[in-house]
This record gives sequence, C-alpha cells and structure tokens, in this order.
Amino acid sequence: MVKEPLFFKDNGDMGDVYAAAKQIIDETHLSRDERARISNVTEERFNQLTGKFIEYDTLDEENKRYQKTIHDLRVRLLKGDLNEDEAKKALDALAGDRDELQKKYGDLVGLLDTQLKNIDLELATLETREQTLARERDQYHSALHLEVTWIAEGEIKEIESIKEILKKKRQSLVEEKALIFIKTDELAESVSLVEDVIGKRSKRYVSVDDAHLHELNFIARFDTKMHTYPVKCFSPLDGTTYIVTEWKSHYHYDSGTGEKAGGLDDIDTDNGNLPLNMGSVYAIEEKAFTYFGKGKQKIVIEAFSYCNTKDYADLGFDTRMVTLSAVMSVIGPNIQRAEEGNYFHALGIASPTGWDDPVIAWVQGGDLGSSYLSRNVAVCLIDSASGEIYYNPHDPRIQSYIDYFRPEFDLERINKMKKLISDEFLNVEYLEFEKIVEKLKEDRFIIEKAFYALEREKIGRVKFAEGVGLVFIR
Amino acid sequence: MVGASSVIEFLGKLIPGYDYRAKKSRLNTDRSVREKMVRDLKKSASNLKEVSDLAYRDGKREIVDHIKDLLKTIDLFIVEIEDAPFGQSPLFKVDTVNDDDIDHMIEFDRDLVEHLQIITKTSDLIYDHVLKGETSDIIIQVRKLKKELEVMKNTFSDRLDYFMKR
Repeated sequence: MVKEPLFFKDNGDMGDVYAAAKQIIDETHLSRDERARISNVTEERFNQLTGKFIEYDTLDEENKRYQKTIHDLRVRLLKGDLNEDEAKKALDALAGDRDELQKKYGDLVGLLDTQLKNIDLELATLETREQTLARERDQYHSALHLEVTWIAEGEIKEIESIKEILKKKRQSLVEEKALIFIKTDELAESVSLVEDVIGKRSKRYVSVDDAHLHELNFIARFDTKMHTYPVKCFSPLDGTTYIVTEWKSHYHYDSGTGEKAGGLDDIDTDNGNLPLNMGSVYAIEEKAFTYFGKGKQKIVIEAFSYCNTKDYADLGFDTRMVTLSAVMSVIGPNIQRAEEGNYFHALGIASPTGWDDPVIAWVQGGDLGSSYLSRNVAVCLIDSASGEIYYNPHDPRIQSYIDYFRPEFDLERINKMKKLISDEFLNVEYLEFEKIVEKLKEDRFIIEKAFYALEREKIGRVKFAEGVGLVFIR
Repeated sequence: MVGASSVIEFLGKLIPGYDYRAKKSRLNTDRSVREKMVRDLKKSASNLKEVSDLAYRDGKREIVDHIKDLLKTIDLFIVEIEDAPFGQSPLFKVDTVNDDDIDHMIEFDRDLVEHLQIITKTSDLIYDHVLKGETSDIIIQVRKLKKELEVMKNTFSDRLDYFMKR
C-alpha cells in the first residue's frame, strides 16, 4: 500500500520564492532608509524652528523697548511734562522704529509660512508612504509574508509618531503666527495711545482705588455665586451637566507687583490699592478610577479682572478701554491650554475701564458669530464699573455661565427691576410681562420675581390674562 | 547610487566591528564577514536538510536528490570560505590602504551579504511552503536557489582574486 504524503501533497505552487525573498529583503532596506531619511528631515526641520525662535525673542525685546517708550511718552503727556506739540514730534520720531518692527514681524510671518509649507509637504510625503505601506501590509496577508507585514506595521507606527510631532509643531507655529499678528495690531494701536490723550478722546476716568475696588467686588461676587450650591456646570464637549456640591479644585491668582511702574523707580508702587489683575479659577476634574489616579480636567470656570496695571502704577488712574489685540493676547494661551487638555473653559473677563467698541462687537458675534474662537473656550466680557455684560447670545456654551460672571446678585437685579417696573406702572393700568421683558432686557425669571415681589408689597396684582399672558395689574 | 557611508552603516549593523580602515581591525573584519557567511549558510543548509528529510519521509526521491545536490554545493562553499587564504593578502599587511581598495572591499562585502540574505530568506520560505503543502514547483525553486548560490560563489572568488592580486 502506497503511503499517503504528509507534506508533499502538491496542494499548489510555491510561486516565485526567490523573487518573494528578494522583495522582502528590498523592503527591509527601503524601510530602514526611509526611516533614516524621515528622522534626518525631522531633525533638520526642528533645528530650523529653533533658529526661528531665537529671532523671535530678539524681535520681541525690540518691541518691548518700543512699547515702553510709547508708554513713557503717554505718562509724561498726561502728567504735563510734555505739551501736545512736543508729544506729536516725539510720536513722529518713533514712526521709523514702528515701521521697522512691523516689517520685521511681517518677515517673520513669511518665515513661519515657509516653515508651515515645509511641514505640510513633509506630512503629505508621509501620508503617501503610509498609504503605500498600508497597501503592502494588506496585500501580503499570508503567513509567508509576515515579515513584510511587520516591517510595514513598524514603519507605519513610526510615521504616525513623526506625523504627530510635526502636527504639534505645526500647531505651535500657527499659534506663534497668531501672536505675531497680535503684536502687529498692538504696534498699529500704539500711536493711538498717545493720540487719544492729545485729542482728549478718553471716555472714562478710573482711579487706582476705584479699579482695585471693582476688581475685588467682581472676584468676591463671582466666588460667592460659585459657592451657592448646587452649582450647575454644562460641558458642551461631552454634553454633560455636572452638579457641584463642593469644589475640590479652586484657587486665586494675581499678577503680583511684578509689573510695577514699567521699571520707573520714583513712583510709589507699594501702594496696597493697586489692581493686581486678580483671577479666580474653579475646575471640575474626573478621575479614571474613583479613589486613585490623577484627575483629568473636564470644565474650568475662570473669572479675572484685566487692567493696564502700568498706568495705575505710573499715573494713579487709567482711561484706556481694553482693545481687541489685548483681549486676544489674554485669550490665546487659554485656548492653547484648553485644547491641549481637551477640557471646556468658560472665561469671564472684567475691565473697570470698559471695552473698546470693536471688542464688544466681536464678543457679541453679530450675524457672523465671529466670537467663536475654539470649541474648548467660550468668553464673556464684563464692564466692572457699569455692570454691563457682553457675550454672544447665540452661543449656548456661554449662556449657562453668564449668571456666575454677572457682577450683580439676583436680589440686586430683582430690586433694580422692581424700581423700573414701579416707575413704568405709575402711568398705566397694567403691564404686560412679555413687553416688560423686551423693554428692560432682563432675564424672564428676574422680571417674574420682581412682579411677585411688587404684589407682596401690595403695589399691584399678578394675573394671567387669556391671549395676553402674565400681566401686572392694579 | 547608494552612498559609501550608508553601505558601511548597513554592514555595520550586520557585522560587529566592521572597519577596513585601521590595519588592526582589517583582518578581523574580513574574518567576521566570512564567519557571518558560514553561519547563515549553515542556517539555510539546516532548513533545506529538514525539507529533504520530509521529502524522504513522503517518498519524493527526486526532490531529495535535488536538495542533496544543493546541500553538497553549500558544504563545499563553506569549506572554500573557511579555508580561503585571506591572511596572506597584501591588503592586510600594509599600514594604510587607499580609498579605492577599501571601497572595493566594501562593495564586495555588500554584494555577498545581499546574496546571503536572499539565500537565507528563500530557504526559509521554501520550508514554510512545504509545511503548508504547497510543493508542486519545489524543484524549480531549489534550482533557482542553487543558481543564486553559484552567483554568490563567483562573487566570493572575485573578492579573493582582488584581495590576493593587490
């Protein structure tokens, strides 16, 4: 009887084994060469980036010197050490420096653009290589070609990590570019700092004591509201409303007296009433495990006061409203941190001198919704002197936080409304709830509470009228 | 064209201490290259011996004969490599060797290592296919492997000639 073959069953061809072996060897070499090339290119790019940052730092120093000169000019003008003509001449003399700085910043933007293009090109090359490898990996699925599959997978992983590094670098360049634009805006605005004084265009005068009081008032009220439990915080990122009954992560900060007097020694900077740009931060963290492990931030609610501390230290007052470039320079790093940590950051910024018209127009968004900067950050601005609050009414992310940032307590708002409604009620027989809401532009629940409070004081009655709704009637 | 430095880097990863520039390491480098060849050829021979045993068990005498022929060629080649009189080459006696000679030596080594890698991988693949029962064209593949081995032998002889005639 013929013995049945155990291995040599002739189930099929081996195919060109020699060619397959050669391909495997070639792939190994190619993969190694490609990895070496990518590694070299990446190192080269990083070196170029380091060079760029040195240039940026030098330029920044020049900019700081220029800004200090402008600040000194403004201070001398406000103190009466200079007359208007002298100030104009000094301002004209600085035009050359300003143009030079703007040109240098422009060149730097060009450099960054080239770098971004290079990174994009490199990313595209990596994508192509990744696609080729993925095809090869899927094509050589038999056990015989496991080696090619492993090589492809190894290289794909390496490409992934290099891509990640390049993308992060790209992001930092984009942020760097945004900062440069802010600097150029500041340069463009720098002339108006002095011109506004010459043309006496200041709308508001806020003394150092008032600024400090507004700051303390704003932060204290915010803290009180944040400790009126339960505090509800909505995260648009995961669509969850967190109910807080105790804050585990909370802190205060301020800029200290580090920024005092712009380096001028003859001014009393130890004045305890200087505003310090104080801030208060509350964070909701979630741990992967209940009792151990590091908490991951889910929501950060931050309120801080923003003033030109240099002016308060040098002059004892400030008249400047906060400009768009200043707002951007404050919000920028917060966006970066929130996006890196992937948490939602609700930000309320208060200014005692108020906000420039373009800033208000920006934050209110208008039809274009231009105040939407990042999916992780929502902003509202507070005029801590007038109590007005500015935000985008079409942005639901910030709406649930407005009451925490609003510089008035509910009771104060109700009392204010009571007075306004009483005045309205003097000359009429009844008041329609909807019309009052529209006229006084206050939250519905505040008006409703004001109606009932007035009813308790026997000034009128609250009644529901068919077809009209809630009315306040005699 | 592949740069000399990348070839040296490539060989350096396969052969420890690969360097022909210094006199003291020249002879060791040559020995290491030959040891690497012998080691890998023995590995291939071991794989093919396994295949031959399986063919013998399944009564495939023709296949056994072809593999036997290939194994004999490998054995002879191994002896040739081990007994090659490289130590007598003038290249190993002088203090400095010119760059051209070094480049040639590196080039020969690269060719040999590439042939060696393909032979080792091919014998691996043949063994894998046999385990899967895909054997209908095994004789053609064994002949191809033998041909590759002959090319490698020629390269090795050319290398020896070059070394001895310098």
